[in-house]
Amino acid sequence: MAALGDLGSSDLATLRGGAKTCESVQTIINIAATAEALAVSALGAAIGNAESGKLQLSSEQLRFVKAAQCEEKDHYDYLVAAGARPLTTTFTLPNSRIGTDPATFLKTVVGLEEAFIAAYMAAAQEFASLGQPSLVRVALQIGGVEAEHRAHARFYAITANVPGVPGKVPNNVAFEKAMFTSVGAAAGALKSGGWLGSGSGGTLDFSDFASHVDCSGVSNTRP
Amino acid sequence: MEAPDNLSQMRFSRRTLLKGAGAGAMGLTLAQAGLLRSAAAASESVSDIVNIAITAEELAITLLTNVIKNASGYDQPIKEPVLSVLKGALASEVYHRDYLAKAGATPLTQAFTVPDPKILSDYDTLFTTVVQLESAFVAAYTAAAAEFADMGKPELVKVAFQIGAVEAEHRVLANYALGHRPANNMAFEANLFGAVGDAAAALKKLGFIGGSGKQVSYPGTSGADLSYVSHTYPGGPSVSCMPAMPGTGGGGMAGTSGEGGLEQMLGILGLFGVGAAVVGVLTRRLTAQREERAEQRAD
Repeated sequence: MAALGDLGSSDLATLRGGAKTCESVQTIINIAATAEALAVSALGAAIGNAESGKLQLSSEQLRFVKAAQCEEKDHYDYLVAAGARPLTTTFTLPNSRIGTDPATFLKTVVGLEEAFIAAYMAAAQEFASLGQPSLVRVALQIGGVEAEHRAHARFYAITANVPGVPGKVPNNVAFEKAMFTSVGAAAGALKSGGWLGSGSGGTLDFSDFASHVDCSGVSNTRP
Repeated sequence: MEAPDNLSQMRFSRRTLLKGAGAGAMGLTLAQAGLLRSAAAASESVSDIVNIAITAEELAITLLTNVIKNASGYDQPIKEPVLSVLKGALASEVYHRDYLAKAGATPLTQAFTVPDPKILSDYDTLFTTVVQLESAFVAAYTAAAAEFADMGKPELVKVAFQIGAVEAEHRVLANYALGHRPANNMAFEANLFGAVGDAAAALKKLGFIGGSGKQVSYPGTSGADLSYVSHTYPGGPSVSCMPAMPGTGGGGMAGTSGEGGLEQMLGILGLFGVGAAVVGVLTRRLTAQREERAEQRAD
């Protein structure tokens, strides 16, 4: 009786249809937790700058940012409680104007949220292939909130006529954009974008922001 | 007439055909029971799911078309930028509807009812209703994604995600229009339904389908300005991967020696969505190898 170990590599390739191996659940949630820690840190820096007058945000915009930071922290806490270990908790800003110029800040938030949506979209597909439908649910429960952040930030950007923000409405897509073929590719995009060590806009440490999160008005804090 | 019940108070349990049966009573091994539970939990078919989805999208198109047409008639007229947000939402729902129709979906009904007449005249009632409906739609697509995952269809998980997250955008913008601050007031989208059929039941219970309120018929899509949105189909890169195969390095896999082990492995591969053709090819190759070795032993 042949065991699978007796099969040649060509048989194994046929078996797998040339498909790559899924990332493990551990790998996926590690990357997700890293992204959430990045979001908590970046938004936390913006909040600090807004409160000290270095970043001109309206009180309403500041409320949005604080709630978004709280939500990212809730995502981080859930992932870590599930066993996630962030790859790093020290980040860099690709551009110092992110923390001082409202237009740059809003555009950056939109771009980051689109990357997070696409990352959780990839995660959902991998969870499906890994036979984890419960995790598929969580991925969409988080991805939906990231989409809310995207639309909300776009609303402020469009209202302020921020250049380089396409579309005439905040809800400008019929289907959210797919960007990645793996969650690791999303991490790679963050790295090449200057968020994971190579940015020149300053260094952020998650521990400086994690305990100063204002969750006023935020509910549904668990999936 | 009273406003619709609060959706957050509704919870629907996941259906299972094996509820109360017990693997032992049926003489099944634990592995076989697990496989059966997975199959039974996916009691809705893809057709069931997309038919309910297109019904919900056509309900949304019906309501939004009527609201936009009568925007100036509300107690607080619906003005810019809120009016454009509604037009963008309508365009998106049209693209969702069209995609589902092309995929073969058929709506369960195209006749809807408005449970509270104030939805068509009172600004706050309208946007409270929109927030609730969009929350339900997000939850419905979340359930759909989980069910598609159960079926081993990650490509449909992607579509459900791409639509469900857009419905979440509509939720937060409606919440903003309602004056709630922060409008982004949830850390996790609400997980309301175990199955997509539960969402359909919720719409009926709320009075949007088969209710006693004003009847409104699906008006078609000609009232939508589709220029408001881009990314009009669920494209972009997909994730195509398979779980890591345990013990594939030299010496074979644990538990796969002997006839029963190989058949179990092929069964598991089938569950992972490996095409029947691929499994068939492999089976024939392994059978040929087995027969060749048997002949060699006979010699």
